[in-house]
Amino acid sequence: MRIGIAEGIGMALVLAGVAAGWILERRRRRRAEAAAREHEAQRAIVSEAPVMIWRSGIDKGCDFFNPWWLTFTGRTLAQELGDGWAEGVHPDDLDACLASYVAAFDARVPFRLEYRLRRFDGEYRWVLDIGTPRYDSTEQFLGYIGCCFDITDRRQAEQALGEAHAEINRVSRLTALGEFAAALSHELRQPLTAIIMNARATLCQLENTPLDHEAMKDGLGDLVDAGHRAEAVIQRNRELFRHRTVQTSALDINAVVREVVVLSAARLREHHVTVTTALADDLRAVRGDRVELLQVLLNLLANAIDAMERVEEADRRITITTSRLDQDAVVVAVKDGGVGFDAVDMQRMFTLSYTTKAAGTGVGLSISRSIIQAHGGRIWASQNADRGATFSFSVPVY
Amino acid sequence: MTAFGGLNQTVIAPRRTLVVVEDDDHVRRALTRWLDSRGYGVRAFDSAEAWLAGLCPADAAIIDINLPGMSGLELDDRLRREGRAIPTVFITAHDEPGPATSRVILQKPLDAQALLDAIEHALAARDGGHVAGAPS
Repeated sequence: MRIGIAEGIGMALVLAGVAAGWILERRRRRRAEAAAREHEAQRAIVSEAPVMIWRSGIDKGCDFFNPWWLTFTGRTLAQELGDGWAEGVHPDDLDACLASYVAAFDARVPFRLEYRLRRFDGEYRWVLDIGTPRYDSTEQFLGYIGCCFDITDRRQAEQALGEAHAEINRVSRLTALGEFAAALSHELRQPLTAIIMNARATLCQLENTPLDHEAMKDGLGDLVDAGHRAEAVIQRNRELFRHRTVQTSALDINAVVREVVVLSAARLREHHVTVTTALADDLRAVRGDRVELLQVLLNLLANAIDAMERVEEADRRITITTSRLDQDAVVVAVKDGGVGFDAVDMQRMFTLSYTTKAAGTGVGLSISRSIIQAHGGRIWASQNADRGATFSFSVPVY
Repeated sequence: MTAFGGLNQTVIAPRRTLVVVEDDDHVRRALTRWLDSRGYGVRAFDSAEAWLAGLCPADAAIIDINLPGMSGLELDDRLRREGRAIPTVFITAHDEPGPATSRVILQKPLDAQALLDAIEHALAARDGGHVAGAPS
């Protein structure tokens, strides 16, 4: 059978078409295989990377956890999906954790959270959770993806460091106080010796007959001099502290209260203490030194925390209020639910070195009083009707 | 009216001579007055160097530890080295008199009677057990 030219060309075209189709099909298959391999490689990264990875959908519920996460928590994927993971969060951290997650989610912003998560062995470990919103190629919001790191060791180191700092501060305060007290007593012992010796000598001379008036006058004169000298020593030491200048400026006392709450956040959390603030919004600016007023508030907060050491965790509450005392002054009050003043000497509690704490220096309230007095204000304490104590101080308005 | 239960009746004979080395004017004058009222002869100096400069024989010394220049303890060491040591009561206004020593150290403010007791004790030790007031 002979094949015509036209038929020949047609057949060649068909063959070429088949060949092209075959080549294209092979390429498509290769691409698909490559994509599958790439997908597999990425999946391997997600499952093998030594980080805990999670993903959530637009309903905030989690739809993925990598094996590292599941190994850490010792739970199954089915248990963790949705809100299941939250069961592993420490009950004390859960509210704050969920609130931060939801707030970030609704604002579509990245977040960093620290909370305790239960490990497979039942131990709660501190984790740093970093989450970020994810989008598809058309910028459609898909939910969040995030990863967690176990930062327990770091936090313990930080805590130990913080405690060491606090101890160093306490010891150096005690040392400074001790040195000051030693210097003062050394200075006072000289005139005291002179007073005692002169008095004894003059008493002795009283027994003589006839009385030597001149000698006794000399002795008593020296005794009076020594008394004045002791007074001068005390005055000079007072001057050391009196020349402290207060850098005053117009301050928003509410801002100072808010700042102190932030500064104390870690300590408050550590002692399971909740702080509420009730800040009057019609207050005039006060005349004060921000750092010194912070110091006073930190002292009062520290006392309030210590006072509630033996109180049920749920009842450990501190309320800080600001209000107007009168035209000229503003009052800040720190109210706790602690042990109150049953075992406290109310007369002495603001004096230097008075303390009821085993490890206390007795400096806090004394310093606070000095600061407030230097501001032209007043500090006082009262027993609450129900339980605990309230420390209040006033600061003049600017 | 007797403030010290007849202490002033005690006659110290023969009259003992004491040296007081104390830089604080108030304390030096008061010590001198007190010891004088108790019947001692007192020679007072405001530094170790001042005492060493004038050869002043004495039965015992009351020496402040913290003196300008040569300290009270250095003074004592020197006297011991030179074989001129005399019974001494040290006084100090500091809390810790330093390393433990066999020296008699009294802390200010001094108890007047304790000072007398310490002086008499030191003298008695030197005299080999003679009690205060006994003829030597």
